[in-house]
Amino acid sequence: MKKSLHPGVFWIGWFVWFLVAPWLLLLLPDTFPLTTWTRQEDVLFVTWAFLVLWGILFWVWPFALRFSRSVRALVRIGQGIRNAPRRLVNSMRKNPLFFITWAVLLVGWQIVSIVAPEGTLEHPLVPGWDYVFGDTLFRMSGDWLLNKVPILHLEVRFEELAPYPALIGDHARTWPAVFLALAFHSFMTLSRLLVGLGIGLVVGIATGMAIPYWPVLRQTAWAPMNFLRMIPLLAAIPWLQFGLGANFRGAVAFIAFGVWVTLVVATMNSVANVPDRFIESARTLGASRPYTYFKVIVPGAMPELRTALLLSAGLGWSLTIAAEFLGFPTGLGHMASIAVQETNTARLVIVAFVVACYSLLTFYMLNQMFNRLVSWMPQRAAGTTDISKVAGAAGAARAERVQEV
Amino acid sequence: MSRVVTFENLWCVFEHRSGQLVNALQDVNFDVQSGEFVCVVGRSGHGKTTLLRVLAGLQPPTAGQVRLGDDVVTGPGADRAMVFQQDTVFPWLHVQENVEFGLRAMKTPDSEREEITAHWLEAVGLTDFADSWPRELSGGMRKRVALASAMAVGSDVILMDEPFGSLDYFTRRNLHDVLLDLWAESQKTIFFVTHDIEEALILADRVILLAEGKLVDDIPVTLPRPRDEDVRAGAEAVAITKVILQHLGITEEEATAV
Repeated sequence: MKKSLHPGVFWIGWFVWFLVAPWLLLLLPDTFPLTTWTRQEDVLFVTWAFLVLWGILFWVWPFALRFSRSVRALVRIGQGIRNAPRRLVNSMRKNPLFFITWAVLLVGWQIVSIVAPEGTLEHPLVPGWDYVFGDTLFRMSGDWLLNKVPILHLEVRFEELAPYPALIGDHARTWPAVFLALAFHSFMTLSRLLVGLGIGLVVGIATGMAIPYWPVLRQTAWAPMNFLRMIPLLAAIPWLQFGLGANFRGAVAFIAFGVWVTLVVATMNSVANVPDRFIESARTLGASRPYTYFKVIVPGAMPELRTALLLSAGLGWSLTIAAEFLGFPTGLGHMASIAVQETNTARLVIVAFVVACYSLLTFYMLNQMFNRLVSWMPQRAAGTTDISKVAGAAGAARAERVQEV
Repeated sequence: MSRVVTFENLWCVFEHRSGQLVNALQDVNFDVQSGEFVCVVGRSGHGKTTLLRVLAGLQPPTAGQVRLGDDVVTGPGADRAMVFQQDTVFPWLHVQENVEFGLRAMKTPDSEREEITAHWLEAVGLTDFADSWPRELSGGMRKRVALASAMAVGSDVILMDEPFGSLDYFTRRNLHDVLLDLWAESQKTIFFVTHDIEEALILADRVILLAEGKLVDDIPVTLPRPRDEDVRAGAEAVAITKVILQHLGITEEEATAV
């Protein structure tokens, strides 16, 4: 059997390949039929063909290294798409209330948008879905602020792809610019969030694990840590901006600080809640203090830490949006702040929708990561606790009555 | 190397939240020879667990000392592995990793560790479950894992604090047999805390009786092994039971009424 590539090497390699691929495209001669992009000295004019070829090259990596698995994955995706309608119908039958709730909310909103008075503002206070995902979304074309990016002495221009509406005027709005605008602002938000949250999580868990280990540290750090936690985080925004500037570094420092301060206390608590019997058992089996700490207390704290970590990820999102809302010229939070200036509810709805999608994805990924880390625990999907078990006899009796009816 | 365990003028006093002092152990003195199976019997709250915890090094005595050979016990160590009343099998380690936990902690060479682990897994009948998670095992099987983990570290003395208290009668009887086999094979000194007189009669060479933290009697149990129902219904066993009941403050009539 062929020895497969280590997963870490594979994924890191794929990322590197993602960065290298466009440079390979630049090596193609002008005579190549698809090279619609042009490069003049140090300026690259990007076209759709360039992006599509980059996308194709990106997938070459898994197909070259894990051909059969990649084909299987494609087949699975195909089957998933084919089965999607059937699964949707099934889940509607199984959990009709979920779909009814959503339908009522969406339709109700639309009805309110029709009957609500228009008011004197430029935008309707309760915009209909047609207004939100039609006109307003199209206007986001104007948020496409980036017509050139310097990358390693190369200036990348997107003018052909999506003209820069802010410069050319309202008639220049295009759908590509809408999605590029959303992608650009999402990228700014996600990059701040990922770096800030990443630093906050790593340093927070490390500090929270280190403090309980040394009694002196525990005694000295507990009071200041709790004091720091009590500072309203939003009040720290201007403080960090003055200190570090309204730039990437300032945003990252703010997010990391907020996540760190919350997580340290949560980690210390989860360490403190590891049952004594495990620690005592380890000690009588000859484990030293450090060994007990790393092999018993750290894994024993993981289940409780999972909740803390998911909450901090939520906090990370709030902090990122808040920081951008209050003091940054880019990002989804900034888009929301424009909406507030314009009293444009429809725009706020779009931003909220995008942020909700991303944060769901963040929670999903963190949950997956933790499921692997605590695979020793009985696995249960989040939110699936059957409350009727808790409700006990009363709940069961009611369920029976419903069935009889 | 087997050593004698000596309890010398042992006192253990706790301060209750109300400020009242509670004498958990009062001037306890006795020796246990190497390879003996000692059952510590008494009512709940009369110092059995405290005695064991002091010997394990998990509880410092207020006065007096416990010695293992010439060494005074000052803290926990692998020479006195303990099996607890609660479930202490680490849920994040597979069965095999649980059994080799102590050996890894003591940096035992790989080949030796694997050999010892395989031996004790077999001894407790869990070889087929080496790769299982503890959550996949029954309560009795998890007790076997705890027993194998304690045996594997090579202690001279094994401490057991009502280890089978939460198990059903049949599982408990089965584990008694497992434990007696392991004891016969390893010839370790075993301290077994229990409030169950029948359990003490099945297992012990000697019963140490504690009442209100004091050692009230030290009864040798010379019943022939294996101690099946007939042996336990014999005159000698009944006599020992009566003595124990008297010390515990229960008359024969009360005992039969219960």
